[in-house]
Amino acid sequence: MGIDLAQFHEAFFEESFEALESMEAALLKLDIGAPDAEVINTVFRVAHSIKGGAGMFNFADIASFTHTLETLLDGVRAGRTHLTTGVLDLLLKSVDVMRELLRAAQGKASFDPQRVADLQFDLEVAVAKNEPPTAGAPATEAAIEAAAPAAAPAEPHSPLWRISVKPLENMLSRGNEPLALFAALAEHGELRVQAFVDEVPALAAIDPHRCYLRWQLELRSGASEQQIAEAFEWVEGDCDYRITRAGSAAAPAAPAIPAPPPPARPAAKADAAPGASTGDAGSIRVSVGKIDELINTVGEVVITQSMLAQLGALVEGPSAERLRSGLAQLERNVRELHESVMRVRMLPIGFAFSRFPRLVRDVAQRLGKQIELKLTGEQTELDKTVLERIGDPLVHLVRNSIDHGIEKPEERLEAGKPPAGTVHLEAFHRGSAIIIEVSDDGRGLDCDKILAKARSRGLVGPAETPSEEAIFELIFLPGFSTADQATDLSGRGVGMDVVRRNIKSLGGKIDIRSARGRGSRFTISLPLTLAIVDGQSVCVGDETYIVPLVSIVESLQVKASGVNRLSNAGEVISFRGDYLPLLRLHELFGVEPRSRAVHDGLVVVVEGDGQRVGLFVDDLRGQQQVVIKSLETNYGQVPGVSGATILGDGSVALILDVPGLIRSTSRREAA
Amino acid sequence: MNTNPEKTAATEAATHQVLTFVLGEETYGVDILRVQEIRGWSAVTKIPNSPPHVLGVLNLRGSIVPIVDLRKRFNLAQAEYTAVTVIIVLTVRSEAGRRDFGVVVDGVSDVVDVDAAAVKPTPDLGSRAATDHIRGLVSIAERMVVLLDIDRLIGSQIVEPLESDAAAQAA
Amino acid sequence: MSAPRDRSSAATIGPTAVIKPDSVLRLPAQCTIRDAAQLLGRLLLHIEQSSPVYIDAAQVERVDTAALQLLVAFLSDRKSEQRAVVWLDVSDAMLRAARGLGLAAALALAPG
Repeated sequence: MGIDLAQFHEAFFEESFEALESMEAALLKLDIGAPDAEVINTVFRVAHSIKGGAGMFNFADIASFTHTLETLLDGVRAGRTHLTTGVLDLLLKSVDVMRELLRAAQGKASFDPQRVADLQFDLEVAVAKNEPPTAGAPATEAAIEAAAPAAAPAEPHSPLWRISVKPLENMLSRGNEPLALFAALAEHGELRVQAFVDEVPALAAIDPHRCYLRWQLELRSGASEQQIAEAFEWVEGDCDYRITRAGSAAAPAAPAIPAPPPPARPAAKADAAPGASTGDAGSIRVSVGKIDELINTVGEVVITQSMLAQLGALVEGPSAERLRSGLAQLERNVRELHESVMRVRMLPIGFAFSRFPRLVRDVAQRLGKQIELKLTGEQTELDKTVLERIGDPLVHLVRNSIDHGIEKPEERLEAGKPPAGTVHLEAFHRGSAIIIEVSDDGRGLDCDKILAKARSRGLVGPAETPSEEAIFELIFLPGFSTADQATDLSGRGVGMDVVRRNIKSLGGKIDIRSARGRGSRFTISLPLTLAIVDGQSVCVGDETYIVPLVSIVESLQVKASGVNRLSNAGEVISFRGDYLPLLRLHELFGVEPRSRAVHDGLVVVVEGDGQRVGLFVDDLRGQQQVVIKSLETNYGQVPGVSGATILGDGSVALILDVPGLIRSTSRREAA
Repeated sequence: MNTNPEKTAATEAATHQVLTFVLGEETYGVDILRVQEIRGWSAVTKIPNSPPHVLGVLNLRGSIVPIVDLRKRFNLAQAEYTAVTVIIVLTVRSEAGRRDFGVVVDGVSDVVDVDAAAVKPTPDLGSRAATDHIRGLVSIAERMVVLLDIDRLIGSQIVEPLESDAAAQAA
Repeated sequence: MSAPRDRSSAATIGPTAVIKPDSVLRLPAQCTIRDAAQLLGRLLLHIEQSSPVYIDAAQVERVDTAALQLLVAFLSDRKSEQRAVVWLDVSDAMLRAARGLGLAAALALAPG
């Protein structure tokens, strides 16, 4: 079984040649004097999608070349590089070279490596030539920083005002403080402050009472120009200022914010894809970096809020109750704020779904199957990072459905089914999770075949008779599917184990349901956001750990008699009629506990990967939302730990990786 | 752009400033430009199953920074951590990007100008691993100062102990 | 491990005894234009210092544009001479003002 990788290549080539045609047409339309931003975007998208495909199929030459081309186009798009006849010429030559490269990759022609290298060099020169001199005086580089906390929440659609502020010599000495001015402005909305320090002289030459700084402010506010100008009344005569309303999102005066690359998809379909309306007047383009900065700040707010809540619980006296109710209100507001901010990072899953109609059609044709693809819930939004990383697992699952699930038309007719099979991709929200389901009405998973294969690979002993559910689980084992599927899309023999690993790395899980002859359903469940978890603090000795609330089943006290020691399988406790392995966190993490006697502490029953274990800890502390900080930025991965967080008192607590801990026990037991 | 430690070392100015600190009987030096911050000792959060020289992590203005005990790293006798114990927060650059980490030292002594010409190469002690993180030796006020190459000392392997440690543990 | 476990000591403790007292520049609680001339004088005393200047801004309660502007000049002068300035501790008031004026980067107080 398995399918030929070449058919995916073919789809890629076909799409790329089409896209190159539209790129060429677009380039020929371009007016050197006044290049149309939308046309440049189209050209950029073509380069980007070819790069993505080439990367996926390991066509290194094409990927490298298109990467350079994309960099140049990005410069043109952002206004760093001027579109001259020379540049246009380079772009047209690039189309030709890309055609050559694609044909060579198809094996239909050879290409001239020298010519490609020369052109790539020329492209690089063009990129470098128009890059602003970054090595300039560092003093003129001013950072854009968020100003004092904005008092008025700015509507996301509020207009953007640019205000340049240049104090006159005596502004400071007359007691007019720019900080106060900016604070007054920040009352109107969201203010960003950029300072220019290039006119500040050397210390020895400075007049300490004179102002040498200048500012460029960005205020997002629904206030009128007059209202904004009122803030300047106090400083009238001491400072020059200019208030301008920034034009539409694509205002040419906008600072060179690298726009997020559009999702890779064929340009030819760009207009049909959901959310592709780039001209939408009600939206602006914001760099992902800025959003992440905002998310970080909100994360800090969450930490401060939890610190205040801790303090608030300790306060006594007549005002204590009012303080606590205020703090509770703050907590609700912070939670809402966090949710709104995270929503900014959300994109409709339609971006990930849009590649499937083409893919399904092509694969079905190759395999001689009839398939109807149903897409539901394309507007369901999920985090950008999740979206980017869920694409490949989905391709794998859909491909599997078509390849292994759906039968040939004749076979289906014999089974009393319509000749065309259905593959259904569905996305929806359930609680705080996103569910994505890939289902088909094909033949379902063949338990006997899976079991036979697992036995032949030594994954299941000859005497074992696993349950149906356990058999389905087998296909996720490393080494189960890879050998047979060297024809995988990426050409690297990616199996279901990788699909599961990718989903897990996003904090999600995947389950299978299947009925012989009726079809299969793969259910992926993903967390809505990645940055914050609801956690239960537990302590072991002097250390505090956070257990994500979602994985906690129950916390209980266990009597000494409730613990049984099984020969070489460690300790177990009885819980709701089951025996669960008991994990002593202090042993696992090598810390000195308050007590080793189980009845002195608590057992937190946690669940992950469909398995339950009891975690033995000294005590429980409060529940709180915690901001996940990476340990990997400065340190590295830690087994059993998914990240760290900063507690209200400023100390660091580790967040437990429950599925990881459970895996480590099953390994221990197996050993 | 250039992240090659050898190249940056070679192209450095004739003199550069070095922050010296004391560990037991010895004086070490690090490039002052790599020093981010000097702070007092405060309790760290332990990292499970970390190498012995990693004491744990601290919150440094919102980012999580590992703290390395140089005494353990250099196999010196242990000292107590007290209120005068100092953490020097340093920045390393490696292929993996920029990382910050703190080292616990007995005390910061001084900042000295070091003439590149006065830096003596490290004597061959047989094992490359043992001296790989030393950029050279320099004599200051009749004391020998061991100049550390922190990129090599830590580099991308805070988690994994260097060869010498691994060997020491295995032995 | 022999590390002290007292959580209450988690906050940064100020400059330590091992740093020479004369290389520490301790900013007063009020750093405003009223005393700008005095601050300028103190900064000038340290500008040529070959060892790093440690700035302790823990006590700062009020700071304005005039004072921060002087520090910007000081840092930029030191930086152009390849001489180090190390922040020992920075009060929230200081950080807020630096951020509010868009000067955190110029003052090397930007996070990370």
